[in-house]
Amino acid sequence: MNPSTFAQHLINELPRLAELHVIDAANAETLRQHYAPQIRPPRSLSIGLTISAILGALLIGSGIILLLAHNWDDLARPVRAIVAMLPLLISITLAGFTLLRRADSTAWREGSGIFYFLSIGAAIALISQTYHLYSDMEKFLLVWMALSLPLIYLLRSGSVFVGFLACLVSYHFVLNEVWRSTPPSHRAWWGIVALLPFFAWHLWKHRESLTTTWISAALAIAVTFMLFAYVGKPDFRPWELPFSMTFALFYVTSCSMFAHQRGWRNPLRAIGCLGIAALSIAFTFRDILSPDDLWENGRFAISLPLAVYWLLTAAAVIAAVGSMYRRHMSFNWIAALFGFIVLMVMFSPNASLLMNAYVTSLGIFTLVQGVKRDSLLSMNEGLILIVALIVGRFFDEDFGFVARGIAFILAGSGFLGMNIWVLSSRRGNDPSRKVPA
Amino acid sequence: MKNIRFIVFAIFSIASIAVPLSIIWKHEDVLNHGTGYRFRTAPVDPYDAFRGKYVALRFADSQATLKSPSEQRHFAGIRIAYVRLGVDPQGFAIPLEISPVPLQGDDVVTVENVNTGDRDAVIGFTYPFDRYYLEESIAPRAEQLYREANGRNDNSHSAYVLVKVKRGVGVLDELYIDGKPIRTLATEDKRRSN
Repeated sequence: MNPSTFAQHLINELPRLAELHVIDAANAETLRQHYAPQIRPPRSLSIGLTISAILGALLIGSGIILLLAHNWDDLARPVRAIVAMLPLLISITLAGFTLLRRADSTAWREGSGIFYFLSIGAAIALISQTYHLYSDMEKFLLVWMALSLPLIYLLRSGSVFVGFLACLVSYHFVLNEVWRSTPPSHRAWWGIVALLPFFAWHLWKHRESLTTTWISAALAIAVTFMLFAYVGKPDFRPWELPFSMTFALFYVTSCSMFAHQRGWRNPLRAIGCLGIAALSIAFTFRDILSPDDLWENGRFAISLPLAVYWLLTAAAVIAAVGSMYRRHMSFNWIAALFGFIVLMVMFSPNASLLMNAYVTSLGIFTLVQGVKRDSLLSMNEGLILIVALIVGRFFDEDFGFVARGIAFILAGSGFLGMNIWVLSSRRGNDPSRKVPA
Repeated sequence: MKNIRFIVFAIFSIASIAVPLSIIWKHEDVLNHGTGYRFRTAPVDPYDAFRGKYVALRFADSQATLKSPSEQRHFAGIRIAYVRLGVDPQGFAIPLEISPVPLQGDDVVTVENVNTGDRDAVIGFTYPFDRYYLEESIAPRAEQLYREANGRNDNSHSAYVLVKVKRGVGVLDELYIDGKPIRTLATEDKRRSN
């Protein structure tokens, strides 16, 4: 129970306690005065205010720019340049006020932060247009990011964190554009490194907060997109290794840090599980995973940056798994080993067959874990994996219509039968219980 | 702690303002005190001519001849170079020399995408001022005028840009068609059609 909730509950109890003579009126009043300052607005109100502040700041910023755009050509060039600075000056004033007077308000910090972030980009873009400046997206994004990074830490703003990540992913894609014949660029990863202290601090101090939820989601999505930029590049292979280890890392991090959160409050789990499922099914098809991906002209072909990335993420996975073992936490160890399994399987000429065995094991283990914990979600996850494997095999192998039809009927019956059995057994144990979907 | 945070914020805010102000100051200085050069534009691919809110520009004189083919090796792997400008008898800017290292003088402009091409003693490049931004509602007509002017087979060179150059920096001042700024032409055309 957080201090605010405890204080509210205690204050609500004071009249009854005084009535029952457990405490006298003077003590009740002393307790009320002591605990009243600890009461904070309900979380839903804080969340609503924060979202309103962010949306309000975005709309005001956009509106100012549209008003300026209407009469833009009528203004002299130096005037245009100075007017382009106006949103930036306003946002600096608001952010300064926030730091001095409203530093404890999430709504103020997030609202002023996102307004400041957008004003930086708008100012640079408007000035670039005024002087017909060079078509250098790389430089534009770099300057925007450099000026935004301190904002994340000064205003402790999750929305600026997400905005920075959007710029960073764009920057990474610009550096690694398909048409460029230069080697892949890895400069953008320093931006991820720069964000890690902020993320780590939230994990440590505010793990249950909504801000931690959405910066986790943003970070996971950004890292995944940044890896996509390398797919097909000759100097970054085999791509299967970093992807598989990254999704495994998302999964074990979610189990280690966010074990008590479900659904959309645990985005790392959702993204990690989805990634493991999609990749593992894809790797069951022939010729996707092959030892040829590891060798080139008789030499081991893993590029150095990829090897470093894989080793770092593997070390993080091992650390997370070790931590969960020490704390006796339950998790799906078959999913956690996904990154290592892919590497081992790639050395074998029967890679797709081994991946089929892995996916079967993962599906059955997940299903059994779900039955043991009475978790409908886990049961369905395991069953979906098995069904996806069956469907995949039917597109890959040459089976007759009768065999496919029977297998689909059996799989569908299994799904329905399992769900009906679980729901029935729950109703049987507690008729008044509202059965979750 | 709060004071330290505010002091850091104040320093950071000054930097946030200083960066765009320095861009404004630098380019206003070039536009007000730089030397003006007229650059002939070249025909453009209709698809590339207009991308949203700007006109993509191409230039007719975007190659420089070296004193000897052996100098080409100095440009291997180079992306940015420095071009000294001169003026031809018709008053248009032409590249006189190109160098991989900075040149001194106010008649020098920095160029990009240096390439050695097929001919030994010739270096190709692109000028950095390759976009002309203008307001969305007049942009389509501006694009059409620009394309028509560049598509003419006569040698009138009716389309050209005025660029101010100073200390290696070139800033696009205006795009002209038939001696008039393109904004004026496109705006007049829009008013006539309304």
